Amino acid sequence: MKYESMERELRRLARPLPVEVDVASRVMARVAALPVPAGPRRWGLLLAASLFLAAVGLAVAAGPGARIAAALAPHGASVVAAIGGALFEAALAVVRAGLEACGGGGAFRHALQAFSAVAIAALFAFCLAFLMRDARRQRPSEATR
Amino acid sequence: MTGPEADARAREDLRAVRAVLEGETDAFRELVERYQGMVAGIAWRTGVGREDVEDVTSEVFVKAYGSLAQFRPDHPFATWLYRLAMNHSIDHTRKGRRERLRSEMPAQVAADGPGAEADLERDERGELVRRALDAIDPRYGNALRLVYVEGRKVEEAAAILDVPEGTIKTRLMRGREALRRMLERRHPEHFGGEG
Repeated sequence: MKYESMERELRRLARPLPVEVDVASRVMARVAALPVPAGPRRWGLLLAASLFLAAVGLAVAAGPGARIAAALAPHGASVVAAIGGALFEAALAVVRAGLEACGGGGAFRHALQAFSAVAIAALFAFCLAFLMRDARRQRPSEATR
Repeated sequence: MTGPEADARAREDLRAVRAVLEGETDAFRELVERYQGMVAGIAWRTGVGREDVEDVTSEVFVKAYGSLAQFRPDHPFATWLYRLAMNHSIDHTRKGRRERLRSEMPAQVAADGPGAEADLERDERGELVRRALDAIDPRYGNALRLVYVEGRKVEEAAAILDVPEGTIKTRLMRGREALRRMLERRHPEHFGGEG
């Protein structure tokens, strides 16, 4: 059998629909019983969830953060903490703007965006911990004072 | 449909989709009325029996409604729905092929009169080709279906399957070859030794 005859066999399957189809009422009756598809409403819920996760990340960072504030007080730690806080807010605002710009999407994308919020919090926690370690090294001990 | 018309329709579709996602369920009717013919045609040409076409068409729309939030506006709604309809119809025909074939055969066998035998032979060949189309690699099967059975242009098939046009051409060539080999091997009495 040649390629051309294969193509002919396939084109024979191209049959026109013999009946007029009207399923609008039936479909609408079925979808009326279903919840609204996961659009902006559930999207808002996911946004809230991702912010909640970010807050959890912050809370985790708050423990070392408090110690850092104490440790770095003589070195202007409150200024560092304030700048860190502002940066965190800015990063969250970027994520939030991204979420709004997307305007809806698959579960994978939602999860990814929630993850990015947590990742920002984790990054800040890491930075704070790093600063704290550095501050401890620099703090003059009782013996050397 | 020409470029500006298609763009206008795509914009209307997008507006309806957004309305549905915002809770205006009635906006979905607009999409159903606009595309029910297209979806039913896909089901029919994929091999869905006449008595099942309406059911399959409804199922496709209900499925589309449930997955509407996953629709991404970087492709036209029609393209997204097309793919959904094709996949659903193929699944449906695969599941019910044996039963449907059995129930449709008596009507065909009963056909009596001039040309009835030729019709039967053509129907049988068509069914075998359709089955082989389901059995080959789905990448090839979908390209062959879109271009030869649905009569879509290569660029339309490329948009629907989200691959470059060159890939579609390659898949058509390889798909024809795969289909030919499968038909000759499985049904030499129908497809072997032809010029």
